Amino acid sequence: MNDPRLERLLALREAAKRIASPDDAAGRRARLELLASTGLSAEGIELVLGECLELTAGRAALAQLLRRAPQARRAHVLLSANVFSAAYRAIVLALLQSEDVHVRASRREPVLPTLLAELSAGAFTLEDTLSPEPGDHLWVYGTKETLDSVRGSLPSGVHFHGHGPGMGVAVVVEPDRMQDVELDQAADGLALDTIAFDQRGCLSPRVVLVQGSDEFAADFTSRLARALSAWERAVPRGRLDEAEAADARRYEDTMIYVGGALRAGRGLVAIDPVAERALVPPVGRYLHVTRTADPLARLVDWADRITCVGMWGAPLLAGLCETKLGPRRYVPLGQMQKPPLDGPVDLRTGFAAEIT
Amino acid sequence: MPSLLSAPGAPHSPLRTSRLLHERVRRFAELATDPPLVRPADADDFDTLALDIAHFQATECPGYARLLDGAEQLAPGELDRLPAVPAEAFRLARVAAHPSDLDSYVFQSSGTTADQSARHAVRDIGTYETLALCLGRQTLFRHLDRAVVVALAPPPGPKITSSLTFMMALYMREFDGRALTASPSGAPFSPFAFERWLFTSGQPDPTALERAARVARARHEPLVLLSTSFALASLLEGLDEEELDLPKGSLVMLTGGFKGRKTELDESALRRAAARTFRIPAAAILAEYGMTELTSQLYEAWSGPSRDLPARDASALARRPTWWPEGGEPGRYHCPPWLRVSVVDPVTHARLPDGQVGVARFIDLGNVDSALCVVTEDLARTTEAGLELLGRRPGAEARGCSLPFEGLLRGPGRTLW
Repeated sequence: MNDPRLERLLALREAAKRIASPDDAAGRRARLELLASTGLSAEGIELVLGECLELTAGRAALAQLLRRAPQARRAHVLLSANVFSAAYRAIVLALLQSEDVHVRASRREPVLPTLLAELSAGAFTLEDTLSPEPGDHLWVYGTKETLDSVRGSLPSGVHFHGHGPGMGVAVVVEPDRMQDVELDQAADGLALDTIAFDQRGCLSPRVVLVQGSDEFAADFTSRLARALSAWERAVPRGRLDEAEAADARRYEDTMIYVGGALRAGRGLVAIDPVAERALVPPVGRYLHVTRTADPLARLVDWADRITCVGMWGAPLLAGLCETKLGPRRYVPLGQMQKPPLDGPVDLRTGFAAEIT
Repeated sequence: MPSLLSAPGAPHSPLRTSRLLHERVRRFAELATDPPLVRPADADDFDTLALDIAHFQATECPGYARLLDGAEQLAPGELDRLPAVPAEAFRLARVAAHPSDLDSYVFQSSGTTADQSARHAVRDIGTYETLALCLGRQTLFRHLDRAVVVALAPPPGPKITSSLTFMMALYMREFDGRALTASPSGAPFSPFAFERWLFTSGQPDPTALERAARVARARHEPLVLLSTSFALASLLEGLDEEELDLPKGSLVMLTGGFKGRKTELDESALRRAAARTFRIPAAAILAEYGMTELTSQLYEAWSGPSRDLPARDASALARRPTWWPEGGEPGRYHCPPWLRVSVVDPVTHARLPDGQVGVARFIDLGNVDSALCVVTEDLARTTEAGLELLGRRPGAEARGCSLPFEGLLRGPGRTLW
């Protein structure tokens, strides 16, 4: 296969590999600049570069994706901040569609797209302003307000791929008999899912649904707090901006008053005293644990916000979710931040576009 | 026992302690409102009373004890360091030092965007009444002996569940107290009388307001219209610039914003429109600020020069409390002596200097049985002219694809207590 798009994709992947490598000059530069721009700790950046950049997709996998993606004369990408590694996948998706790709980086998070542009020998063009025309495809990542604003400003005939906010939910079901090691592993996996990007990603778990006895819920919450504390030592939380820190203070004080809050490193795990009720806690390693008799029903209730469900102890749940919620990422705990390079991260919309 | 606060003497039963604290708070307000020529030697000062209430709540409210855990002991003069209960807690838990079977009222918020409204359990409504009346006499009713009092609000049910509705009914009883007829002698007063509540079936009723105005005119009294901003905007919209004259000296109390409502209207435009429609001076509109989580309210001070009526006698003039400003600006609020507000940093809760924007933190002596110190998400700044309220603090804007910190997700079984 001699598709020029594939060559560009491979060039982009090589650029990403250099960025991910701590031994490459580009990797060293990326680490320095990301430390300033992302707010993550050095260890947090290392974790993402090592675990969350999807560099394993080879030529065959990329070629297969090329056949799935809708083709376009020109594709544009409007990136958001938050998850710096997401720029790589977003550009890959556009390169799957077109040889002519234009990318506008987030002002707050320009490091990865800038480096990818420099190192990929012109695989795409970095722009200050995007000018999509009828027939072009435009991928926009951001808040609902951003999507609405951009959609409203487009000329008619643009294929608009809007990817809005979402969250991950973890589901843990009490086993027939206690399995200490496995439970600790599950808590550890969920903690790892939580600390990546300091929870700012659309796959990041925010709510934990626990089905089982109150004792089990309390026990798992304690394990989770311990796991997060342990991860804090290995991968410290980075800095929160002022508004994030204010939200964090409010959530902490509220849940300490309400009850069921456990310190977990610099974050907090709170088991809600009222079953079936949940808050979306702030970002920064905060998990809200909700006891439920029916996790599937709760997932259906919140389906429009959910992008990813991490599961433990519920072997049949993924199939049921697929039927009731539709396409989402259904994965074991510990894998919520490692989606394979199989298309958009957010499967709620996937490759679908609306034509303006 | 948390170490933050020193024990205030011999132990009492919780109920007895609560009763004593309520008595002290009422006396504090009464002494502030109607000061005697010689201040009693045993009169409370704000800080001591506040610390005693905080100690009581730390003892009786496990949630507050948890918040205080590890905090340092405080002395009078150090209330800025008193840990505050987030207003959010009133939505998620019972914030009360007494069991629910002792509730006399449970006030609930309405019109908020969250699924679950805030709930404030009240054991002793007498303190609410005393504080609201003491403040009402210094503010809205400062210049009035008597008036016809009506509310542009839905009629209350048999059990009032809104603190604003309760206050409106209280004002009707205390400052009017007669049937809404031109010759009320003999007719019984009821704050529940349908004709006093001018927002029925989800609509403002201008005809009922005209009728109330006619009654006031027949009595040669002003009319006091108690209204939310939303209801007033709705009334004015319905009138479509048609005038509805209110009697001379009539007043409008305006409260609340447009929380959870689709309509947005600039408040100064609303005041101008109301003044034009009712043919009253803009200065006859006075805004009040209250919230479900608080017992006490804030008011604007009357704008322009002093509106005080001549004192009835020299003694009354000499004893007039000096804590309420003689003049003020629209949109600048003031606290009575039993309520303190500070503007604090939303992260550290440290007090901010005048002019800086932070969130409002209240110490309300009226909240004997709930949370003395409440921190809100309302942005505010203090100025020489009073407290300026700037709307709700926006949460951390998701910088892309993560969901913002938000309220409750839907789900069944949300009974809290």
